[in-house]
Amino acid sequence: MTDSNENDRGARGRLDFQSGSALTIASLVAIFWLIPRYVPGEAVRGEIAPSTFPYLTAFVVLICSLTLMITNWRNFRSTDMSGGSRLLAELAGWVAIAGITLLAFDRLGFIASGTFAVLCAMTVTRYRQHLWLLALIAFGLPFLLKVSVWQIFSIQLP
Amino acid sequence: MFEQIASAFEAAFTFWNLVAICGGIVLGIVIGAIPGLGSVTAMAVLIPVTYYMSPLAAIAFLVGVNKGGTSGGAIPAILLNSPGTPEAAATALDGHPMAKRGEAKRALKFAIFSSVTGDMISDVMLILLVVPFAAVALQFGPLEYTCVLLFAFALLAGITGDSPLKGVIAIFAGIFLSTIGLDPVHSSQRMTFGQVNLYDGFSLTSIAIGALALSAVMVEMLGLGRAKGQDSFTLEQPRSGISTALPLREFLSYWRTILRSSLIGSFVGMLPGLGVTLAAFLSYGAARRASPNGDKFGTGEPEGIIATEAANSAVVGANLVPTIALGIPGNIAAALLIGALVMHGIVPGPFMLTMHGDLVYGLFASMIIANVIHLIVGRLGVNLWVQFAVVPRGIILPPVILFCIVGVYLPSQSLWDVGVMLVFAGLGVAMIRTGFSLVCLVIGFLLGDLFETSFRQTLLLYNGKYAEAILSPVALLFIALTIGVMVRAFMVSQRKAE
Repeated sequence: MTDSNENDRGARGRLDFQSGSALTIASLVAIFWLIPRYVPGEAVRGEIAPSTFPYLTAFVVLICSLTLMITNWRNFRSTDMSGGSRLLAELAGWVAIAGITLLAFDRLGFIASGTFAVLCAMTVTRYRQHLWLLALIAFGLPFLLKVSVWQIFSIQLP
Repeated sequence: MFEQIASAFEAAFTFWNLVAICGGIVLGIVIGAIPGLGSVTAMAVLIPVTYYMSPLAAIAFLVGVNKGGTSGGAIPAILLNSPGTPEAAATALDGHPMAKRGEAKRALKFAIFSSVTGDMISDVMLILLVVPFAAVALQFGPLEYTCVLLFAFALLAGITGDSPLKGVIAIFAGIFLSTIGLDPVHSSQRMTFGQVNLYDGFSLTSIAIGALALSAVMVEMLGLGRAKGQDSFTLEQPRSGISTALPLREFLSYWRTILRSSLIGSFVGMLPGLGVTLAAFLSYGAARRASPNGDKFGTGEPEGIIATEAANSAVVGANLVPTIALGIPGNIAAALLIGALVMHGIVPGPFMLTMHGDLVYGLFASMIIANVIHLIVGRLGVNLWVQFAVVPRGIILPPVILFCIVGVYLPSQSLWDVGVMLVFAGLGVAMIRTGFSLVCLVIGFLLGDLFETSFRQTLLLYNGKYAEAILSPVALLFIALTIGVMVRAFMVSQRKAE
């Protein structure tokens, strides 16, 4: 076994431990707060209660997540880079871009939000050749799509 | 029987149906040819478009997309050694070496011919087998259905992703998500937070496009960003003076491999949960063992391309057997087809044949017609498809985001669904990075309703007398198979870890 393989395994195990922990917390929240509060627990006319199935699925997720945590317990203190922080950074970036896109879609319309989304995507890809074509896509495609959708489906995009 | 087939062809031979099939195949090949996309992305993005078609044209269109997308994946695999989809990885093993020695066009022709032949064989099997399967499924009660679903989940969790444990988590997370909305029995609100948008639960279109298409595109874009916008593959330029012809006689000389691979693909396709990738690699391995040129596999042996392409295309037709007979998708493409059927008010399952027989036979006829169109379009357009494969991903990927947004917005015209799609795209990226299967999540979500209904009916039916349940041999068989599959999956995963 090479050091690199050991490091990979350690990093993967640490990431599995972290995702197992997140899922355990999520399923505990579902079992102790979400389902009791937002799903009726009483059965009517000898039926099965509406909360039975959500409880069952949440319990299966809880048990499997705990197993995932336990089987990767020894990697908890692993110092190998697990990619967890990179993932969090990517997700934070995505939340920001998605949030602005959605807000722009609602307030400014499809053309503005589409242009913003395409420009963000182009920034992420770091592709710098054929800049004229990229600009044409970013500014022209949302307009073209909006017109096409109206002509073909008679639906007005915001 | 003959009357039904004749009327099915009559229904399928309409102008708009042929346009839908042809359009589906062209779009499937084009999107499948773009590295990083593929037939699942193509289907997910294009499902909303079918909302405005007749049910037959819609399903024929999506079947065309699936057929075209599956064979289109071979183009970047052969030309660029960049298998956009996992199943195309096996095609690249022999396809790319052929391209390197200047036989790119021959390799592409081998791929398209094998793909269409495998597809045709699997479609014939579908037509022959779906009625007997549905007849058996009609005998199933809620208990048997619950056990068949558990078996499908076990197969799915055991095969997909990097660990069966993560597969089970993803499936049950998907089932949990399907419980959001109105309860199927009491119509009481479950986790709706008083939001009218949540009464019907999450829409499959939003989840499928977000989790399967947009997240895959985002991961590709992030990868491209890390490579500073440079695609890591280059087109192998064909050398001059090498024949690009592929006579039919030469292709048919591989009839054993074609038949074997088509049967492997069809068998894998019929088992719920197993995917195209497994079919491609099983078939490649079987062809290598059976061929006298087995030692040449991996160096540009046409049999390698035939084995993988015939098998992965054979999955397309065969996976409709459990989809139509049981309402359980054979793989993620079939799951998306179920979503499209439901969108058109058709519930897949054994009753589909009796309630929508015209549509089912029309679909079979459309599939046969699609194979002929696929052969013509695929063969004539070889030079054109190559151009799509070499367009830089930095130009292709960003606009896909716009298509995803428009695709989700069209059916419901609701910003809510766009928001749900964006959330699931982020979740999809997290799941890809952490090794959880998105296919398991989406299929769990899709089958959650059916699973809950049959499970609750089973509980009511046996009402405390659970010992009586063991009297069902079908249920016992599927429980034993479920346990067997899970035990084996955990043992294999343990061995891999060691």
